[in-house]
Amino acid sequence: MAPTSSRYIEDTLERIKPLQKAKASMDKFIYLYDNLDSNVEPTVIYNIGKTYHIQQSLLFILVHGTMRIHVNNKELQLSSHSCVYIPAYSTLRIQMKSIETKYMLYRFDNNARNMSSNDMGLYNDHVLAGTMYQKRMSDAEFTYIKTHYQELAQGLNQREFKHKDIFARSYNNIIRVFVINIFNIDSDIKGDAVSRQENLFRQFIDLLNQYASQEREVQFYAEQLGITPKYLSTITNVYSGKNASTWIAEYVVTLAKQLMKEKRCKIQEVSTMLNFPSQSFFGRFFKRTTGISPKRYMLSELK
Amino acid sequence: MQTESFNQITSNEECVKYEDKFILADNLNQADEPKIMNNTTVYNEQYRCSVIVVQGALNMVINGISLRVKANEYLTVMPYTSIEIKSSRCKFICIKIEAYIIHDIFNNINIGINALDGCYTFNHYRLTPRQVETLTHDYLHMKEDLLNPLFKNMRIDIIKARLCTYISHKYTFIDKLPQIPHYQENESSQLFISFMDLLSKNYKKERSVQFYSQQLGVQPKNLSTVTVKYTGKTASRVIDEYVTLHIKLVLYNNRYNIKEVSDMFNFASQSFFGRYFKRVAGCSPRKYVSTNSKKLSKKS
Repeated sequence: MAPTSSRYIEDTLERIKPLQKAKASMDKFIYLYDNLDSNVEPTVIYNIGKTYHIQQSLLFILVHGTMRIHVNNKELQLSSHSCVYIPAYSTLRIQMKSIETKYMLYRFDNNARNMSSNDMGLYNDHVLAGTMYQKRMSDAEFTYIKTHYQELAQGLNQREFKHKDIFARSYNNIIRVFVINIFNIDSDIKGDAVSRQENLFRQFIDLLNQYASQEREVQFYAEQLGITPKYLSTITNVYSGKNASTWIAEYVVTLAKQLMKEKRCKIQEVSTMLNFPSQSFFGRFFKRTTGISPKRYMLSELK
Repeated sequence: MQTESFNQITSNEECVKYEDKFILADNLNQADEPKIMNNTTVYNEQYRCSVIVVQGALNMVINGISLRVKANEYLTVMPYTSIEIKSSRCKFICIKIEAYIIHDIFNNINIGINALDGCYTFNHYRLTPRQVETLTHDYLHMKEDLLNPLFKNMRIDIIKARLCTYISHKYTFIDKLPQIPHYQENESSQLFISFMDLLSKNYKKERSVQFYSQQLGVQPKNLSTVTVKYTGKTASRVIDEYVTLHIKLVLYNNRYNIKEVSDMFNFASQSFFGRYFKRVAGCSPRKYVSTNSKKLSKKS
């Protein structure tokens, strides 16, 4: 059975902002959330049993306690000093958590990820989307990330810091290199020890990055990969719990939202830019995927 | 002129480095009276050096100009400078980085500073103890991560990121802060500044002393008198070094082939370019590219 998008809660910043105040942030770049100094539970952000469609990349560190979560339909057992890296557009569900949990959550958007890829000359980074990484950190690793999380928060909360953007960027790069090193993602990107299915899944995400503004047919993507549409959906279901058409629809909607919100494009323009035959067709597509019309979405965003 | 590595300056400080591109040295942990080896002369060709004196004072001569760097003072020394330590009893931090790497980083982060500006000179600032503490903290992080076993991969990237943190603090601190002046305002210092300014605008086209002296309205001989005073070198040597530094930057970035670089710098032929580069830099352009240039990409 293919899950539909209505079963997911869009995990956007707008959703979180009223629930918990960020400990520190650099607008449209990085956001830090934790409950180290308070008793706020992570379930304030994520309710147990609900599924969230993650819009930014997350680095989640469990400082204390235990949790059981589902990321892209894979079950993970987390204990203290567990670290999970969840790239944007994954799904996340908290199944169970112990009474007292302490955590740190580092959210970074695509801007931050692209910038660090650019700074460090990393290519094909987007193939990471749809996969995830989890491990229990060593003491040295845990101390390192905790220290840097706190230093970053402290720096971002400083006033009269002219080059705060460079500061944020440098810490984002440090955390990125840290993540790549502790999960050994480097060797992973090169495709070592990845099954054929997983490889196909990554290639699909790769193609989606490339063609989402042009093509919305599962047929097209399956042809590019040299497999049948049915097999493509089987693969995406295995790795993300969503079928291929849902992936495509959600991806296109994300692009549309970006265009409307960040670039302030008109609905007509968005419809043309995303290669829809007409505005009304785009409107119906948008409403089918998100549950609201583009017009209503824009009004709610502009408020 | 003799080029020495920086770790020869000091007697027993701790020095760590990454492929001679990043060199970090300090004597913060030295228990007894810290002292830098006196009367040593170092010739710095292609590094930007940042020196922070944490305690005590450092007397030195840079390109013939004597200065005293006191506690909580910050000194940036640009490429093509000879540095002579006269006397010292101080705790210090020194970060020495290849100018091209800094140039790259400045470009990436869009800070609006050209790392190759101000060759042959130095900047001197007075900071607050609090600011020195922050920069020291950033420095120690950098040093720690240079040796950190956590970073098996991408060590250069972690150091660059660390350096960016340091840069974000440094340029916030020195923003609108007046420099401690060392150049007396007179005719010859004015001429030197105008010459360097003219050179920075024309180095891609003109390499003759004739051109520059004509533009400045002075005799070639007079121009050299001034450059000798401020750099210890004749005007034609200054021009050659300045041009070569910029050629090296282009070669380091490795985006153009040698023929293109030769055209870019207005050389009559590639062979002429090759000979010119070899005369000034001491090796052929091709050899320079193969040993120094950036790898084009880390991942395919």
